[in-house]
Amino acid sequence: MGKGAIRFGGKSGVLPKPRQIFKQPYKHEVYVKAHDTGYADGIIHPRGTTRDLIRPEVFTPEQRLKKTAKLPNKKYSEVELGQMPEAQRYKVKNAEMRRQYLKESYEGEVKRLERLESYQKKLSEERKKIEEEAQKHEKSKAELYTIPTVESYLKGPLMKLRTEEETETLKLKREANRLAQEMKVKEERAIKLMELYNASSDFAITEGKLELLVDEAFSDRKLKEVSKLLNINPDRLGTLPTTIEFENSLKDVILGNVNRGPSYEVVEDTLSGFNDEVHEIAERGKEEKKIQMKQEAEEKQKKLQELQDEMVKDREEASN
Amino acid sequence: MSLVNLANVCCHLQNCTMARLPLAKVPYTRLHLQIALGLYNEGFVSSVQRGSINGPDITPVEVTPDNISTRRLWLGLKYRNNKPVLSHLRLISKPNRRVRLTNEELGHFASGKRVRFIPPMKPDEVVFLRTNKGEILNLYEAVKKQLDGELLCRAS
Repeated sequence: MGKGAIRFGGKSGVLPKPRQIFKQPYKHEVYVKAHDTGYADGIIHPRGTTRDLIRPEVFTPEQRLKKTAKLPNKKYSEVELGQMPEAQRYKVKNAEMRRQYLKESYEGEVKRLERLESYQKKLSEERKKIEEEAQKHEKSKAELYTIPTVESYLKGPLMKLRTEEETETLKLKREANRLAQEMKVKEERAIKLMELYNASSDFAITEGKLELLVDEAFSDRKLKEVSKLLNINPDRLGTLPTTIEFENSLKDVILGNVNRGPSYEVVEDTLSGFNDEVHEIAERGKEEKKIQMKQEAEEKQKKLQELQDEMVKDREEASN
Repeated sequence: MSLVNLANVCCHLQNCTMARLPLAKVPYTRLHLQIALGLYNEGFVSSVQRGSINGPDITPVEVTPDNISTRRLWLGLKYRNNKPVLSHLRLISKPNRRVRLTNEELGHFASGKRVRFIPPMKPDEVVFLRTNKGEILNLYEAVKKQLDGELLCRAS
């Protein structure tokens, strides 16, 4: 905990909390026992305890003044005060002043407490009023006559059936969903079929091809490649020169090939005429460029010819 | 409507009251709504509300084929002195043993006599039955209206 300012978190100048002047009730009050509290009749209470709640003793400001700052037994007149030595006079006056201030402070506290009490009373009254008004609240006629009762549900059908239009739309929606799903499945199957078709070019279907493939798999070149791959340092993977296989696969990705053959998308584009269109546009562009270049070449030729003619003319003039 | 679902509801409500739950949800069907209203009228439940699987509706929601699967009835359960008001809710007719009584038999049963294998009614019991028109009625109402019916369940 520490001492001094440490007690207040190292902060100085922290004022203490204001204490209550009246710790006990300052005025008499009629206490009403709360409902359903305490011991019922015929129920005995534990020994050493009280049957009724002991309320704190009332200590009025007057009693308090009488106890702490009672009036002096003798009241000095002005003449007597004048005859007194200065120190005694100061003491008497000081005591009187203290009594006065204490009385004023008690009166001020009583006023404050009364103000607080009246405010609390007003607040509780207002709250009670709002509560009473809330209790009186009734449902509006619109609410009362439009909210369906549970019994009314039994009169008609329990569920609102779909109209013909709604049924038709739902049917169409389901049909569309089914078709879309079928289309997706068929497309996937076509892609797989295309892959298989392209891959089939590498299949060993004759004895001769099988032997060829076996020989190739166990050839010196292949073994060297494998040993080379095994000796690669993983740190230098990025700096290795690209293999032909990698380049080929890159080419496949760009051209849309699968297993060294055209993919399903490429075939679809070709069949739908999309590729032809692209080809046509490219051809057209090529032709146009050719014509343009030809024209440019002719113009250049023409200019050259003109220049030559001019030079010949100049020479002739000069010789003349 | 199958009685299997009603049996499930009866069992569920008993379980909820044993667990001292404040609210119980049951599927939203006509039969369940009628039984729930019967229980409400007899004072076994404190409230009957429509709602979804998440809780009672704050504003009324229309029941459509799109949301019917999530619709539920919410019943407010009652307790008194820490004991459930609705402690027993059992089927009388079973899915494979329906009990259809004539008005005369219903009168005998209502007066506290044993009818066939059904144990006699106790003073604090309420029996719900279904008339030929599909209405769900209290036993005494059916006797007063001189109707025949199929005994569904008994609550106490």
